[in-house]
Order: sequence, then structure tokens, then C-alpha cells
Amino acid sequence: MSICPITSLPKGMRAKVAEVEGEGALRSRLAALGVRPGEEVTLLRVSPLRRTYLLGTEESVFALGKEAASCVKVER
Amino acid sequence: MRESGTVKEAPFKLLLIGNPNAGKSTLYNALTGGHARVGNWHGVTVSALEGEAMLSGNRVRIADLPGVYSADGLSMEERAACAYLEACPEGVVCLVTECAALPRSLALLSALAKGRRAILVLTKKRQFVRQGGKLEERELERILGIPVVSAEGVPPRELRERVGEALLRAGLMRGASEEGRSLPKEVYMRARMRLTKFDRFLLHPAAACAVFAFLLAAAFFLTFSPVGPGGLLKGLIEALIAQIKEAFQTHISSLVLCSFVGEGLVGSVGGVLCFLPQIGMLFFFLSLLEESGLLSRLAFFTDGTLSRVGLSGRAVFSLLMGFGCTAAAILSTRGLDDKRMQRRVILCLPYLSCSAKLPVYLTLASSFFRDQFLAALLLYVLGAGLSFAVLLFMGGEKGAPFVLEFAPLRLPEAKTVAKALCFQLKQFIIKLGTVILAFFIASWLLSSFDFAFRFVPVEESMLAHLCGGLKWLFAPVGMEDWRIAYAALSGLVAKENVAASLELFFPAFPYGARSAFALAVFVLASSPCVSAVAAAAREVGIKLALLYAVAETAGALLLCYLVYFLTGLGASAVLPLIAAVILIFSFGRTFRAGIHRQRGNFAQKLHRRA
Repeated sequence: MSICPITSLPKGMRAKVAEVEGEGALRSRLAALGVRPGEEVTLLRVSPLRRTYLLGTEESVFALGKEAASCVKVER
Repeated sequence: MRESGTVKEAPFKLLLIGNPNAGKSTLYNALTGGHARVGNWHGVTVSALEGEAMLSGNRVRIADLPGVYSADGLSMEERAACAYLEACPEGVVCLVTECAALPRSLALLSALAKGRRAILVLTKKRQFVRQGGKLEERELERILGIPVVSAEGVPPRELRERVGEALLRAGLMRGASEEGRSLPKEVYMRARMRLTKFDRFLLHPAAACAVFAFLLAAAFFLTFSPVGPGGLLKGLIEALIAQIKEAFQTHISSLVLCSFVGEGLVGSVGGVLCFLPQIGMLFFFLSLLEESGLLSRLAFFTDGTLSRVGLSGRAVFSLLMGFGCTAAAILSTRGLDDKRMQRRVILCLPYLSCSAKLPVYLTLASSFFRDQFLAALLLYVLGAGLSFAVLLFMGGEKGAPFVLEFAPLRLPEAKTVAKALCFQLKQFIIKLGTVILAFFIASWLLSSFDFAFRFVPVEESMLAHLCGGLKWLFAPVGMEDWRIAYAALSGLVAKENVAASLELFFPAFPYGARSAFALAVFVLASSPCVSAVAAAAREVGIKLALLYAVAETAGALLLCYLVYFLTGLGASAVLPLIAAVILIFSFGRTFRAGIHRQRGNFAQKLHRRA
């Protein structure tokens, strides 16, 4: 089982969050949206330029820029 | 427990907190009867709103705080809300949350309301239940130890009663664990959050492109085209104004009064009133975008492009608002995470033509374009291009990461849209009544009388003498006329003034197409009106705001000269010139992007979690 950023997943795939990197404020924001280690997250859509990612968790659906999305590491 | 004596005398303070878009502002409006702006877009409450309400016989001060996700404070709004909470230790915390977001909101509450009395207000229960969720309020109340009120579908009067009664029973929250996940399934259970069918459709890039392009084109057509409702209504009002003018002029004998009412009052102010339907339609379409939730989808798609000029998808709302009113758009930048990005947005907003510039464009357009609709479009596109150029020129440093929650798509409520529209139109009329009218009366006085207060033609008036020196400003573009300079500069007070002044001085624009276009470009690029500069001063400080204003106006003048020069060259020279400019920009951008990528990678390595 390898750990990779969610940005490398194919569209529509669901995976379990392994760790969340980045600054504390970003991490708490993501945690509030449901991105916590052990939780499931789905990569719903990727924008045409591959700069924006639409993620879905148990709790909400939200868009992340590439920088924030690269901080979400999942188990593959 | 408060003594009953104190309860009746001193007002309670109720502090509304919760996630953005949870419904705090709707609740605030219902309780206070206020008109806080409600939008299906996080970041609409830009600072704490305070009002008073009578709840269950008690006078209560209510504060609607900006939306908070966590106590860490990712955005400026969140920091403001937390600071406000700390400054009011005696206030009762009212957590407002969507039923769907209850667990994480409870976590927020236990972080923010430690040791404080609290109540819980639930919103959007209908949708939650429709999507398969389950919630037992009485049980929830028993478990949490604080009063729980469901707000959906409750008329304001009854809501005030319920909240007032809950306020009296407010207590300390108990037993909330870290994530609030100890709620048993019989009390709270939510169905998995899903994208609707329409959402899925809209998220295909081709579909989204088509839908948004269609919406924008439709908005433009309905607003500007002479055969659309905007144009037709305008024609109606114009006819009415002309009749009023004629009626006055045949009945007034005094020359002075005739001039004041006829050419002055009715002519200029009336001329600007004609554009009211079109301005209204523009605000109407913006409200639709905002209320329906389509704005988040637009932000999702535009974030890619915007981040290349140093902005993010979050800025798209402020940018779109800039087409309605620059001042309001500047105020909305408060919701942005990042002070640097805020400054960049404020700097590029004036180039996105606000609705007040529309009368000027349309007045001048008849001189240089056969089709007014196309002319306006051309100027708007030019403005958008200019703002991009300004952003590129400022360099693209990475700001805060882009995180945007999708609010559910919904059909905009007619009542909310109508309310927002009326509010904007009322603002426009008030602006017309005070700033512009005052300006008009001052300039009519200055232009109709000389220093001895005799009624004289314009050329001998006080204004002519005062502005005599200004005429060299527009000499390079073929308009060595102080009245043109005066009209253009009057736009610094309020953009509607330019059209009013032009109507006052020139029944028909006497200078050719090239000059008209150059003047339009000047108006496009110059500093926004004083209200926008004041809004900017509130956000970035008076010094920076004034610096921007001066720089923009100077730049506008230079651009105006450049455009005049270019249009004189003819197409053969202009096209290779434009191509050269594009090439230079692309080079510069790729070069910069390369440097920033290196910097970015390095910075990411530093930020790895310790």
C-alpha cells in the first residue's frame, strides 16, 4: 500500500486519507470539511487545466486548488 | 441564572456563530427585521452586524458574526469573528448550523464556547430530511444540555418567540466530544452527501463553458441590446423625460429657471435615470448567479486561470460584482483569505467597468460605433483585458490555498432576489439624489454664472475660467476643450457625472470617432468614484487607496493618448503591434512562472509537517 497525493488518483476514485500536510490553518479547515486521517474521500472532478480538484467526503463537497489538494495524502 | 430584575433592564447579547452559509444572516434578518445581505456564497457577511430585537419580551442585542470553520482562523473573517467573541464574554453564543453539518459544528461550538452559555439553531432541515437524514431535536437537546431550535419554515414572529425562550434556558453545553461523533444513530444520522444530476452535468467542462457563456451572453443581450427589455425600458423612460422637459420649457418664462430645469435638471439627471433599467438588470443577473449557487461552480472552473494571474477562484465573486458596482465589489474582498490577493483584486477592479460607466459608454458609443450593444461589449472586453494585464504586470506570487465548499444548487428565491435588487436600485437612486445632484447643482452654478453672479453663457462662466488650464489634458486626442476635461474629471466624483456633464455641455458629441473612443478609454481606465476609493481606503488604508487612484488616473490618461495614436495608424500597423505585445507578455509570464515554480517547491519543502 503506497501513499500518494490525491491529485494523482484517477477521477471518481475513492480512497482513505493517510495524512494531511501543510500549515495548521489549512489542516484544520480540511478537517472541518471531513478530510481527516482514516476518513474516506472521493475525487469527484478535476478541472480542465488540472489546477482545481473537486473532492467529496462524508460531510461535504468542496473544491481545492492544486496546492491544497497536493497536501491530502491517501492510501492506494 | 440572571435575576429577573436585570433581565428586563439590560439587554442580553446574542452572538450568532457558525459555518459560512449556515443561515446566520437569514436568522439575523428574521429576528431583527434587518436586511443583512444573504448570499449562497461564503463570505457575504463581511464584518459583524449588530442589531436589536424583542425576543419573548426581552430586548436583546444580536450580533451576526462572519462564518467560522474553526477557531484557528484561516481567513480574515474567521479571525474577526473569534476576536469579537473574546471581546464579549457575557454574551450567549448561538450556534447556527445546517442539519447536515451538525457534527463538525458541534466540534466548533465546544472549541469556541468553552464555559459560555449557548443555544443551538438548526437550519435547512427540510433538505436534510429529503436527502435521507434523520434528526431528533428533543433527544439532541437532552444529550447536549442546551436548547435546540429548528428554524426552517418558521415565520419570523414565532421564531423570535422560540429563540427568546431558548435564550432564557441557555446553559453550558455538555458531553460534546472532539468531533461530536458520540451522537447516537437514533438521534442524528445523515445520508451521504451527493452531487445532484444537474451538478454532474454542469461539472463537465464543455457543459459548464456552454452554460456560463450562454448565461453571460443572455445577460448582456437582455441588458444592452436595443430590442431587449433593458433597451426597451430605457427608450420608454427617455420618451417620458423628453415630454417632461418640453412641458417645463413651454411653461417657464424665467430664462434662468428654464435653463436650470430644462437643460440642467431634467436633461442631465433624467438622462442618467434612463439607464436605471439596465443597471437593475445587471444587478438582477448577479443576484441570480449568487443565490442559485452557480457561483461556486464558476469559481471551480475559473480558479485555474485566475491562479495564473495571482488570484484564485474565490475572487470571481468580487470580480463579477465589479461589473455592478466597484465600491460594493471592493467591500466584498474582505472575504478573501489573503491580504496580498485582496490588494491585487482591488487594483484590478476599476478596469472592470462598473454599471455607472455604462451611461458614459453608451453616450459616446453612438459617435464611434453603429451598434451600441457591440460598442459596450468591446469596452467591457477591453477592460477585462486591461485588468488581466495589470495583474500579470504585478507578478504572480502564490497566495493562500484555494478551498471552497460547494453550497447546494437551488432555484433562487424570488423574494430574496427582488429584495437584493430593490436594495441596489435604492442605493443608486440615493447616490443620484445626493452626490450627483449636489455635483450637478455646483457645476451648473459654476457654468452658468460668472464671478459677478451674472447669468452668462458657458464660455464666460466661473467654470470656464477655473478649468481653462485643463484643456491641454485632452489636446493630444483632438479635444482641446476644457468642458471635455471637466466632464472626464467629474467622473472621479461619480461615474454617472460624466454622462450628465456631457449631456449638459454637448447635446450631440461634436468630436469625431477617434476622440470619442479615446475618451471612453480614459473613463474605462481612470480611478473609480469616491465611494470606491473610500471602500478601498477602508480595506487597504487611505494612503494606498489614494496612490492607486492617482496611478490609475495617470495611467488612464497615457492609455487614452496611446489609443488615439493607435487608431490613427490604421489596421496594418495595429495588428503586428498587438501580436508583439502578446509575445512579450507570454515570454515574461513563462519566465516568471519558472522562477515561481522553483520558489514554490522550496517553500513546500519547508512547510512539510513538523
